Amino acid sequence: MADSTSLCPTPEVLEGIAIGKCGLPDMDHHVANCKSCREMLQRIREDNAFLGDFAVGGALPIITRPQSTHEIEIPGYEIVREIHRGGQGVVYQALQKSTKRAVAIKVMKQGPFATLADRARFDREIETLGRMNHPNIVAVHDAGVVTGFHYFVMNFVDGKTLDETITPPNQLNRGRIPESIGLFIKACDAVHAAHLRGVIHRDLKPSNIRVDASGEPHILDFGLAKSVDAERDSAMTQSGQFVGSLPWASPEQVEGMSSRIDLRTDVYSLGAILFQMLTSALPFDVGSNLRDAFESVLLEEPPRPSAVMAEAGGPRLDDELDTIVLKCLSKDRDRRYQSAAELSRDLRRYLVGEPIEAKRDSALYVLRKTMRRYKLRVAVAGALVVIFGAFGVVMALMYRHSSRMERDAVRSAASFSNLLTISNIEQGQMAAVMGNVHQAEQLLWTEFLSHRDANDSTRLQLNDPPGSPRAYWALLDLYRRNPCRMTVALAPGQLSIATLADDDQSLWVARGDGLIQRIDAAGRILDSFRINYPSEPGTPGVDPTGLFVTHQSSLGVTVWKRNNGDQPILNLRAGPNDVIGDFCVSRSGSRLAAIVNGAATVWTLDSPAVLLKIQGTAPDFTAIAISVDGRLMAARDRDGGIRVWDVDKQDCVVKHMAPPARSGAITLGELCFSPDGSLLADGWAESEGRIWNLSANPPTLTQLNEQPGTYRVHGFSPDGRLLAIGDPGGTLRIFDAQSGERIALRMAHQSRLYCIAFTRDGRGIWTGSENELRLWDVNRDEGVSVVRRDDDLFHSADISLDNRTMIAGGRNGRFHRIDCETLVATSEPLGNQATISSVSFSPDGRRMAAATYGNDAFVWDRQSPDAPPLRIVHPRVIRFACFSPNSNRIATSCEDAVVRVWRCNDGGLEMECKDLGEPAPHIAFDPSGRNLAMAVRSGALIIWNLESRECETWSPANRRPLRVVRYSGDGRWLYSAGAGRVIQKWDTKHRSVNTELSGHTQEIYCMDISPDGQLIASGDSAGAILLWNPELPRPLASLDGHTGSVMSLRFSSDGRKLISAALDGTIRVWNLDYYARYVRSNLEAQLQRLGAESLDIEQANAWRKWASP
Amino acid sequence: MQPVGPITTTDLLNGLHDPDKRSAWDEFDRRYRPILFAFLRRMGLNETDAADVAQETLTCFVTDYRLHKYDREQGRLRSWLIGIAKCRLADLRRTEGRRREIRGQSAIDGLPEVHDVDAIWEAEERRTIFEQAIIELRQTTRFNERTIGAFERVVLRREPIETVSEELQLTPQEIYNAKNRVVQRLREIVKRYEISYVGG
Repeated sequence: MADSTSLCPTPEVLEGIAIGKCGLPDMDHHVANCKSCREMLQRIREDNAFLGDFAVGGALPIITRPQSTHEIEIPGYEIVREIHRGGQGVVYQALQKSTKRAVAIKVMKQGPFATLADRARFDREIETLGRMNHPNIVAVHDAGVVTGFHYFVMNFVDGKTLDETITPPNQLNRGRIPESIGLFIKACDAVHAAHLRGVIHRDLKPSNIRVDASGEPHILDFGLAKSVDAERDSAMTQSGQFVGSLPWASPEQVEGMSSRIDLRTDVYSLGAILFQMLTSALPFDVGSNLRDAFESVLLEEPPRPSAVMAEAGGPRLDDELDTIVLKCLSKDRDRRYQSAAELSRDLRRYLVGEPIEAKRDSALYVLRKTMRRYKLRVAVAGALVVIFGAFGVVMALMYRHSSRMERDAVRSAASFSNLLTISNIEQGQMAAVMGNVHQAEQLLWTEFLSHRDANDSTRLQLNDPPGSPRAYWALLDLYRRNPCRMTVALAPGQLSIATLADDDQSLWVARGDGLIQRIDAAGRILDSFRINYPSEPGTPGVDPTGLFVTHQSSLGVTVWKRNNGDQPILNLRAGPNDVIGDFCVSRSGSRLAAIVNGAATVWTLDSPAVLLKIQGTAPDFTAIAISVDGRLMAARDRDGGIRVWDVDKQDCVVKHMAPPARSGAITLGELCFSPDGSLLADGWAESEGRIWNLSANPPTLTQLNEQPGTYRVHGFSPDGRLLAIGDPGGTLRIFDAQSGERIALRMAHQSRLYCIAFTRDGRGIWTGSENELRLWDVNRDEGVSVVRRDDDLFHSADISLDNRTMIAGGRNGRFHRIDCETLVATSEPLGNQATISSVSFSPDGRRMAAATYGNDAFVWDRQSPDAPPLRIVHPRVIRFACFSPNSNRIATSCEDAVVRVWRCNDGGLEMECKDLGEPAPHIAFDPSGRNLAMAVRSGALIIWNLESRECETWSPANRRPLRVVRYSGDGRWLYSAGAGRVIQKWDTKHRSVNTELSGHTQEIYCMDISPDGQLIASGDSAGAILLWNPELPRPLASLDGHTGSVMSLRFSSDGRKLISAALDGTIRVWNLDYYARYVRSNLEAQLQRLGAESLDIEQANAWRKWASP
Repeated sequence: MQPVGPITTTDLLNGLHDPDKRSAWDEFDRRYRPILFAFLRRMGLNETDAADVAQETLTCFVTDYRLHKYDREQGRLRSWLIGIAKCRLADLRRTEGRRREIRGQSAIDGLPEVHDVDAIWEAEERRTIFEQAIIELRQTTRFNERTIGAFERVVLRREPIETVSEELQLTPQEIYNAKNRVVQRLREIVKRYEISYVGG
């Protein structure tokens, strides 16, 4: 055997034998006798037979490797280089031979081996891009198949992808941020354009945005795009499959919830891109394993971009940017911007410095989270209280020691809670300034109702609320800025729709479960009944008389009449292929218009019968409205064309009116007649809203100058001059119906606004969302009376003791007496008509005085109104004049640097102070009348003792020119302010600065202290007025409205009004009490919101007692 | 490419009923699209038409299948697919024919009538199995590049052993050993494919 083995032929020989080539006899012999060779030969034969089985025409098929896209040749194009290789396809830069134009060609990678799904996706991308026509979305020129490879040709964008343009924070110049945002806004607009064409991108990321040489962004790669029309897509994106790119994918993508992918998915990705553009970092760390990455996207809160930036040593980012980015990145789609357009709008607002609309995340949530963060500290403090409390009882010897420690522990807990309070209030104030009513309310009411300031002594006499004065004033400020008269909380989980009742005082509210209630302006229920609504979800409705109740669902519209049993009087069922478009009940309550089975139809409801039926032709009707008197009916078709009929005459009064055609627009939104039927608001399309003026023939069109959101609700004011529009974001906009100009914007609700109704006087407006009704002042300045004199710039104003008369003077040298009730002014020229620098009433109200730049001071005795004023001549211009506390003397500050004190009865000079060295812009008596404080520009305070005739100089450490000085009512404190922009509170006993109140950004020109000493008002050169509590270093509230320097401020004798005079030619009378009412009337809804968890019944009742008139 | 596991046609067909079971559809598509494509090419269609008809056939099959129109008892999957493909082919020929008539050409010109479609299908199926097996071999094998290369050149392309030996720096003996090992592996793969395509 050993021999035979050594003779074993090589495999080559065996192969030969197997195919019968080799014929050496001894070899045959060997093989016949060698087992291993035999087996080998057998296997070779079997292998060959196996292979032969696959042979076609005697040869085995040559299996080429799948052709590489590299070798592909596309007719008409010359491939230049590969740009990008993605999961789906390879993108080449190529040259179109005929035009020599640079193009990009995307070739499907799998070629002929592509699966159905791959091909469908590829085709979808071609189709999608074909539908786009937007400068910032690449356009498709050509498509085809070559050797089984599908491809399409698009514009070549010569530039970089967005991620290549991102600058690391530490190299980022703050000035470049607006530029980046500008670029990003364009990208948002392009994405929005895609959305309008029904396409969701789903894979937005920096590498899919190319920035060309001129800085224009272009959106690429719609390969994962999804049609808004999700039905068509079901085969392509099955549930549970993650589609997208992880760092930019939204939680719903990560979860694989394809049914929940919509426009807001792209908004999320845009937010992640913006995050990255600003910070160079990703919102979440996705570098680790996939599961952790998924978890981060699903559960973790993204960090604030500003914090990431600060950590990376980059420039400071504004809080607004944080807010915008975080809003996009919200886990909950409803909390994101509802479209890319909303996002870009807010960014534009940010760029021009307007308040952004972004709503921050729920305040309670923030509060809760903060509490959680500090839980340990709070718990420790609490535990100490308990432990040491027990010690105190058990170990009498240690009592004193332990109680001291207990006090310390309590104090540290209190100081922590105080800190938290301040932070929440400041956040709330900011939210109020930004118009975010809901968030501001959450923060401030929570603080106000459930928290007490550590410093409980800081009580405000004005309304004296039992809670934190800071929170109270912040609330007052909130309602001044966003005058919500009251809030009525609605039953949760039920959609309620309100209609202004025909008494114009109360509201009818129809609830989703069939409960119909009439409530008054205080939220009291006046009337109530129930309708047996069908089980399918729908929109409830009730007419102004409360007699007819409607229910609209996908099945149709049903109408009931009150006291008519459960049987509907009208039941309009939609046909199988039909949709009930819209319906409305005329304000007279007797007619209803609806689109049923394609026909625009009007019924009379008193004894249900069809009054008018217009069978629609293509395109279908999509919206219908009936005028308040029920006489006119308007219907809009799918293309936006509107026709109007006279219901009684059965006559088409407006044949057809249509806005300029816009292809691909979405037909949304209702129609709404003005009360007299002359105007028709048209919520058509996603773009601008418009108002048709039907009294013109043909009707004229007014475009609204701002785009309200989609799904609008409309309401005209009773006089038809204002049009209010609510949007799905809960924002209320009020437009001038004549000019189309937006005159007010309020973030009225946290969620979609469902109904709008003006009150009869046109000064109030009701808005309703799913969970609350709110009544607003239409005019933000209801609590302010404005005296406007275009011919004068006011330097000074004062109000009489009885609050009946104001006096004022200014640039044109006229002395104005103004009736506080009517605001009618009587004016007289004073002396040589030089500028009047100051006017004032004497503290006893008997006299009034005016000082002028014409070197004269005038003093009137009001008891002899017809007598001419006493004239006191000075050598130079008089800067300021004021009465002594006993009203018998008047002090004047003259340009010659002398302050003089005169007798009021005969104008005799009593004394003068020549030690000033410079003129004093402002002087003030202390309450005893013994001292006169004088503020000078060199920054010192000079206190002149009128008894000793001695002067004393108080110099603050930081000497800035002073402008104004005031004593507190008890003389204990002296407040001074000026170019330093802070109010310094001097302790008059120790002659030192006790506190500085800071908040002004410009030089402070004037100041006053309320009669009770609890409130300080200060005004600056930029027109801002701030209110302060003397104990608190930060302002309580601000009053905005003046557009010129505020020159003088005076509280009324009861402290409820504040008079401001400004160089903008206005005097404003701020009714501080006015908005206090709003705080009270919003209390109940807030108590309900907080619920028993936060406040026990006793506390709640104490609050109710406080709020009751 | 994942090796075709023990998923039999029966498994696959059962999976197709569940619209959420995407993998079944992918697998079915991967398995039958190349056969259909090659079959249709053999039927005289150009690449684009073949891809289109294959696409339509697969879509049509899945739709029918989900509507329970296909009953395995009544015939083999192959026959069913061929049936659909033939209908689609006939549609295509009619349109093509009309175009030709308009141009004054014979309606059937250029599109050969093929009688033994079953044989063609079978051949294409075998070819596809072989092709996919080779692809899988290339992708999943433990063999090194030279071993596979030697096999492909000598066995598939029938290149002279001397040339291959010289270029790959392998002795003829090593080449034949390589062939043996590779064919052995290939047979295992093909066997699996045959079970999943034909059997089951």
